[in-house]
Amino acid sequence: MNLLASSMEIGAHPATALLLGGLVAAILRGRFASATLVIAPLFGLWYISTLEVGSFSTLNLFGYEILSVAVDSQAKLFGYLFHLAALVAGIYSFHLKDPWQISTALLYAASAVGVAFAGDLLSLFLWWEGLAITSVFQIWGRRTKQAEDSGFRYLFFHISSGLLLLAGILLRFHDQGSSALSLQPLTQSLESGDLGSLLILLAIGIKAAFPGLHAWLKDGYAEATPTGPVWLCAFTTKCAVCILARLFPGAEVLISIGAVMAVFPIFYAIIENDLRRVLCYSKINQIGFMVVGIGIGTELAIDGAIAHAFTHVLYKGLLFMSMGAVLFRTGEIRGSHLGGLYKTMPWTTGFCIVGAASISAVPLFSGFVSKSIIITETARNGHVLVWFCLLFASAGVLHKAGIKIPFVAFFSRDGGMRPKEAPFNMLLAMGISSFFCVFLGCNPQWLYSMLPNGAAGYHPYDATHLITQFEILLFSALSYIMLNLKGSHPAELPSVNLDIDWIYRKAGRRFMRVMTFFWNGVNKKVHDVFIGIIVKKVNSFAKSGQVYVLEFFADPLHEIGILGSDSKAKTKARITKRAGLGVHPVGLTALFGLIFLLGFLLLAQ
Amino acid sequence: MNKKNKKPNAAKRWLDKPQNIRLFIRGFYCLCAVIMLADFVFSIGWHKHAAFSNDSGLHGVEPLPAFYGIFGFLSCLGIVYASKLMRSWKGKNVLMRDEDYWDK
Repeated sequence: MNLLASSMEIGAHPATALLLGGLVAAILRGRFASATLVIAPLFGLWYISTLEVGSFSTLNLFGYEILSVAVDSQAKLFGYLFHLAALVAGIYSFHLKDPWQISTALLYAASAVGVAFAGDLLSLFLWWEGLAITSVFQIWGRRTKQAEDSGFRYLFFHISSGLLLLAGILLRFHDQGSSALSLQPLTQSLESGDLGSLLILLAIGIKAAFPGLHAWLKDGYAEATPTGPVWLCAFTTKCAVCILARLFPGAEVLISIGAVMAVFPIFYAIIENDLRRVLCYSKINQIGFMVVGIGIGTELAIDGAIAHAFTHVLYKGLLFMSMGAVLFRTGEIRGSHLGGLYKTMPWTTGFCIVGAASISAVPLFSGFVSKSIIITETARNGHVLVWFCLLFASAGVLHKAGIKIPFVAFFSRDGGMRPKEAPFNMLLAMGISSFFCVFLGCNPQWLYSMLPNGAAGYHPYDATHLITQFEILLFSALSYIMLNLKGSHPAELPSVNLDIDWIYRKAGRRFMRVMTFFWNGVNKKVHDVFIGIIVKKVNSFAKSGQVYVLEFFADPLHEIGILGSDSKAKTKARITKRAGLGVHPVGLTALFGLIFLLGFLLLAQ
Repeated sequence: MNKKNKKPNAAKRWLDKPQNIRLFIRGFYCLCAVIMLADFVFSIGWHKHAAFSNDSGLHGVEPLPAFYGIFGFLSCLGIVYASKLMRSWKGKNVLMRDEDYWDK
């Protein structure tokens, strides 16, 4: 049976093109393998456009009926998004010579498409695991010791996420039978304290980089290959947002989680030196906006979250691409070592600025049309404190991603590097992303019409919005400039900053060391006593005990006269020698055995 | 941290000249002034939509002119000073470590 085409309504799984592309790329070499990076997403994009909302596909596996595909408008939107992201990232990675990286990248994109179209929790779980395993090669592809270690830490988080998801699914299945497998919202059961739903939320939370579970993101992405984060940033967290919007719309707890996510990374981003890590922190901050939108749960807020996921993939991908190009050309990504690159990389600089303008939500760029929906809905639903957090985060994101990234990498003090402009394929990919950033910013109706609820009645471009947005952006930038002129802006220093990963990278290691010291110490002491002392004594007793015993009895027995007529000393020497060799007749040994036994018997009485 | 650094033999770019940077910054100040003016004119002459509904405490505060500008400016100052404290507090490192910290 053809597993991929066992559908009743649609011909093939939406991820087929990318899956096949990934498999084919694994056996091709050179430019042919690279070509799949472009061809597969294009085919997939065409196929998604032919899918009709409401169609589905089922799969019989081990006697269970799995709803492997369910097409709705949200799935289609994410389908378009993931294919577009794969196409852009594919063009960006066109120069790669490593068929493994190409193959796993396409399979990774296919897994993301699978998650977006998953019709029930079981098929979701399968793609979810695929997402974890295929993505780690973007980190390991760097082939350094740091990347290898970081990849294992990354994998640890994502495998845990898969296991938690499975545990949650099984708990719910155990309680409610097969009806628990549907992808219906779990908000109510979460709020009534259902453990299964909580585990599922936790599983999604790891992938969405909830505060405390976020360390894999800044750890893994910063160690990945120059092209790696372009793939990584598009899929994993957006799959989490997609599923979060399906399963937990309107869950109150998400509002608080999202607000924390939006605020705390800003501080880290300001003092972080690795520019890709700065982008990671700003990514957590942007996902915070989406999580708040999902938590508010009104139709418009969910639309805002999904729209923000869409625009975010494009502009964050663009920023990661520009930083990847810098890393690719200079081999350096630390802000303290970069600067002045605009002179030789003008195109990359320009594209980076477009990305920076988008993430800062400058009007006419894509971030503005999506982020403002979420902020507006927060205010409209009366979440005052969260609204302040989001506004604060908007000001902060301009500061760290909008200005710091382009300024430190391309302007700032001249680091003296004069690298070549990025290769053509990278520039093309950045150009396509920049185009979409500006296009969606100027024509938000294209994006809005694809949303599940059509962003009903929302107009980003009214005078109040424009004035207030420009005002907050310009005055945030003003503070940056004034602090810089005063010289009191935190300088880029070669350093790392402690984050939650300290717990498992340092405290964990220290704990290991203490435990190793203690238990190995105990082990050694016990070994010394038992093996070194007791066994030795027993051994020596077993080996020479009889000699001592016979020696002890030699003199008295000689007195009695039963040991022959030799002299006392000679007899003793003979007895000792023969006892050591073990050649005494059994009789003598048996005699002493008898004496001992009788002695015991007497003593026992 | 300024954009003024230059190499003696490198080709001069527009941004290499300090007076151009001063020009840029002066232009930026003007832009800030213009948007502030626009906010005041718009708030007084027309009508700003309030983001919050009537029963919220912020209903009267949020549409005031310059609210967003002051908020943005102060939050960025706050962010910068707070993150400096995150680096070091009274001369002692709080969260900042050497680059080889994880490998030690």
